[in-house]
Amino acid sequence: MSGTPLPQGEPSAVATAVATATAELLLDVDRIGITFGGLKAVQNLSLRIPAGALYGLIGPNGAGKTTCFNLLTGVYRTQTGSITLAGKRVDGLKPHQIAHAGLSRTFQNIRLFGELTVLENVMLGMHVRGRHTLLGTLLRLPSHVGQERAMHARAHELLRLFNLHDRHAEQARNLPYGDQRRLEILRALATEPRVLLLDEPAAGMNPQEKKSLAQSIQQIKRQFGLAVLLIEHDMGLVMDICERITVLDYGVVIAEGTPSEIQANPKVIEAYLGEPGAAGTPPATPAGTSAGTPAGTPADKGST
Amino acid sequence: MPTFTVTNFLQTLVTSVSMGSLYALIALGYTMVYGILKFINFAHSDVVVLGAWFSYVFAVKTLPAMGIPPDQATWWAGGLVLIMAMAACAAIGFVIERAAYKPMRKAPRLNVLITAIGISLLLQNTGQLNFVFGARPAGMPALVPTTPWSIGGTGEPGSFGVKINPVDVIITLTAVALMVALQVLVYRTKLGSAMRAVSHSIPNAALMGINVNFVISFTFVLGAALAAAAGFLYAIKYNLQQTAHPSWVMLGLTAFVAAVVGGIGNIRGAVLGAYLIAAVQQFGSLYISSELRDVYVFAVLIAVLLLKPEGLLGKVTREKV
Amino acid sequence: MSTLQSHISRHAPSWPTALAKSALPLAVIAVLATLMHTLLAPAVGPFVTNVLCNTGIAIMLAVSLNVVNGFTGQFSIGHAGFMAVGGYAGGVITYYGSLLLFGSPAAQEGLFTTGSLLFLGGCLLGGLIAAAVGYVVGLPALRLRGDYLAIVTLGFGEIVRVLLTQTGDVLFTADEVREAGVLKTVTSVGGALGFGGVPWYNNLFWTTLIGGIILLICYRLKRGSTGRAFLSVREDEIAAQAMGINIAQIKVRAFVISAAMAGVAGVVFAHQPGVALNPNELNFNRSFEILIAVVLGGLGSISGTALAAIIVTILSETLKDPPTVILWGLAAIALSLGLSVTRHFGERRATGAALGALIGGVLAAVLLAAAALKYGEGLRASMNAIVPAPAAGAASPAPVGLWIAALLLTTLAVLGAAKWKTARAGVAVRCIKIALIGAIIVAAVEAWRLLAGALGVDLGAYRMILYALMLILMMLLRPQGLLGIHELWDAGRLLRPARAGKGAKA
Repeated sequence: MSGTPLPQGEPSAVATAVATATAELLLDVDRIGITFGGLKAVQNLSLRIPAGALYGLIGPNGAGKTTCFNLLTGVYRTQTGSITLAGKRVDGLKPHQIAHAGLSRTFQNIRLFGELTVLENVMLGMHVRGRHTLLGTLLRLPSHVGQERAMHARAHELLRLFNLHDRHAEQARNLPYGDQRRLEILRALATEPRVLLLDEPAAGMNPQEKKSLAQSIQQIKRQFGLAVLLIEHDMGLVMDICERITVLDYGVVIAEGTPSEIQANPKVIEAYLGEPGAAGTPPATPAGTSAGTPAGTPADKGST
Repeated sequence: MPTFTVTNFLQTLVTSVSMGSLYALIALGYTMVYGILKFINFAHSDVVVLGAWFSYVFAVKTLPAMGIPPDQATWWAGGLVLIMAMAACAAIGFVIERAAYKPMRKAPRLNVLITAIGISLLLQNTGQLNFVFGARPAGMPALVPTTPWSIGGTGEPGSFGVKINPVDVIITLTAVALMVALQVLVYRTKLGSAMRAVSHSIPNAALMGINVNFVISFTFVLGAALAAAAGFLYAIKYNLQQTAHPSWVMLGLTAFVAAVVGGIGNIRGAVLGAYLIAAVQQFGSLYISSELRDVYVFAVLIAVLLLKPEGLLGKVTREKV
Repeated sequence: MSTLQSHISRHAPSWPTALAKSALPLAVIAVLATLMHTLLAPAVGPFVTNVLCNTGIAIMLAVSLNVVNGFTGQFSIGHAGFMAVGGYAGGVITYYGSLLLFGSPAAQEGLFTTGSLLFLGGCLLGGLIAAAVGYVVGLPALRLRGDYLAIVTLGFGEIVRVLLTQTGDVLFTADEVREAGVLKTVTSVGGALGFGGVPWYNNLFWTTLIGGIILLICYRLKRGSTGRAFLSVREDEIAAQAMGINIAQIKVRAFVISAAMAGVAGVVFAHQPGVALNPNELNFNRSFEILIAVVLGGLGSISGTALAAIIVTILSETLKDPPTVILWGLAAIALSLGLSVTRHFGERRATGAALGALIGGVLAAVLLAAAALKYGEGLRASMNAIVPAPAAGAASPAPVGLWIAALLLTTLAVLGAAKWKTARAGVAVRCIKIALIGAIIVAAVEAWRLLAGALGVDLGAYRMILYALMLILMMLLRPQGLLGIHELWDAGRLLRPARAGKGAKA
């Protein structure tokens, strides 16, 4: 079983594509928006993510980042605009259909299947790529047995990526916090996504862990040929690994560009520090010293 | 199916109002607890049953002990029985909340629901033990005049005439008075605004210096007292079945359905739903079949849940992801 | 083609191997059923056989409810409704089928007769109709969560009961049936008076066979991909959806499967000797009894649920006439032992934990069974009016049960003592604590029994009160139930240190 090859992307091709900026547009989000009651949580949000890209989505607390993820994955239904994944409209689809189309995510507040084992969590990620008939399950037909074994083998391969294979039989809720976050990423990867949405993957990790997480994300992206969209509060991490960054505030995009452009953008500084023109320093240094959440984030910006 | 007559119609309307008032009193208990703790107090209908049986016991045992023969009871004796039953049930409501629900406050909703079912079974089956209320039906002594008032008509076929039982009037007046009092309490007093604050968010209310435990206990006590009043009113109108009898479950369920139809957690919704459900039930019984009266209730429930799951006056809630 | 799909063929076993493996448990169940019927049933006599059949039916109902409540985390409390639907459908088939085919509704002698074919047909149809009803009841589950669903299912159960009480009188002759036509016949099931006369085809063979198949279905569900998806819905609906699981489909499926199994259990119940179907006995109290087994045994645990169903059934029987205090006390000790050690399930703190759970549970069951058997002697006479008397009076196996219990308890005590010297003194302390708790329970039960005897109180009246208290205490102390989501056979896996990269089961 150990010989099962991992799905290999074509890293070199992907890298070139990104570099030449002629990459195929994978996820095209066009002016989506949603209003809760009177609160305009997200407005006219557009994102264009090519294959193999690693983009960041940042913004102060309550800016609408997680709402954006919820819109992309169908938890909330978009009220305006459209979402196209690899040429196929996905807005208006049910969450499970969107996952099937190739959009997978992790959650800000970890949502593992706590009572189930680590292995079962990953296998559930693969569920969407399998065929499941009641008869096959109950009669243990070859197709079902074969699928279970293939899932098993592949789940172990995936767990190896984050060195979690030793703990495959443990209940997911018993894992340490950092491992739970990693397991969530693996579970999302198991769905064989084209675009992976990570919601604050580094939250609660120490600098060491963050560093290794950053490497892992880049490695996963290359190995699986994914596009990654990342929400993160750690500016160091975002500036370090993201190719382009979109900044949200009060549900609208206030800036979009490369990390250096974002750092120099006065609107971004204003959004984070709250004092127009007062701040002369960027939100974080490019060197990536984990700056954490910038101080002075207004706390009363409504809820996402 | 009977042909339509104005008499039938009006008579059924009278019954609907009286039954609706009863349902409303019970539904308020469900809706208040749901509003605050977001769970269905499954044992609420059993508090109604206890209220009815307490009323019976007080009327049969306590009144004579006080020197009032139940059959010659005056108005204030009935009121006394009502207040005693309300007090007894309020105490039981308090104990239930403190002993069983409070330790479960942070537990998953499913566990709370199972606890509530446990409490319900406990009350039902304790109630029908021989040394408690027994396993036989009982009839309340007539505390109120039983001669119906005839309004209009001469009793001849074809004439417009409605007979109104004093009991129905008492039920409606008592229920309406209690509902108005509740409305004032919730919307016009400090305690009421504390209740509404707790219902909005327990942690935030606690941060504002509200004694959350007290408010929750008070809500249970209030709900139980209203349930007892409903039980008393039921007892003066109908015979009492043993406490574990299915008819009680249907009474509680109907009231619960009323709360859901009106929008659970919403006090005015519960009252609206109660009168609506009573009307559907009574008119369904009149024009279709009285055997299927419970089926109508659930038909309405399912229709509402599928078409407007938040209920007539309820608010849409959204789970945070 | 997706990555997973491309690997499946490489892992798939050949058809003959797969089918042989798939059919093996069925063969085992069939052999077991035959043994139970030919060896055990005559040995223990009709009364105990009856208790065993009732236990089997309780297990079927509990594990079937567990599919919805345990696996999928939806909360259905109208399970007796599905049981009633299935039971009445099956009853109509066999009763009116027998009337038309044989001219008499009496059951035919023998294990494999035309009548038993009719019974099996009834099982099939009862299961199918219950499944269809389950589909309809499952639809609101898509919209409703938790408490709301509970109420709807409770209402469903009550409506089934109300509708059944509105049905017409039972027809007694084949001519009446021919005259009445199909529609009138199927609605002539006795109304509130009950549907008496359904032939008593059920016996220990059919109970074991059908119960075994239902348990096998549950087991394969839980261990297969479908059941895993069920569990994911229970754990977190939003995460499950985000992983591409169609939760609407899963919920409806769970309801359909659960209802079908409950329907079959209902058919078996309807044909159980001594049973006369009555809508008022298939009311919410019956639903609660099923629910209690699931909650006590552990939401999601097949073995826990089945164990709890056994305990609850035997407890119900025992409470009618309490046996000697010793049996009670030992059962209490065993139960508290099982409870206490299972605390460590999944925490890997005490090595003997899972073993203790197993011993405690089995012990409690054995003791309670012994208790039931002992007092059963007295009831046998009354039951013989319904069930034919055995050819030879079988000796009560109660002493054997006692001996086994004593042996197991001694072993446990020795184990505890042995651990005292090691770092696991806690286990020994716990054993002593348990013995103390046991002693207190013994004293309390004895006091109650004496008091009840003195006052002439019928302990059977306290059955539901006891269940209610068990339910409330369980929620306060161990809300996940005896075994939680685990199974008894998981014990080894949970306690063994996880081995690295065990790989697929090849």
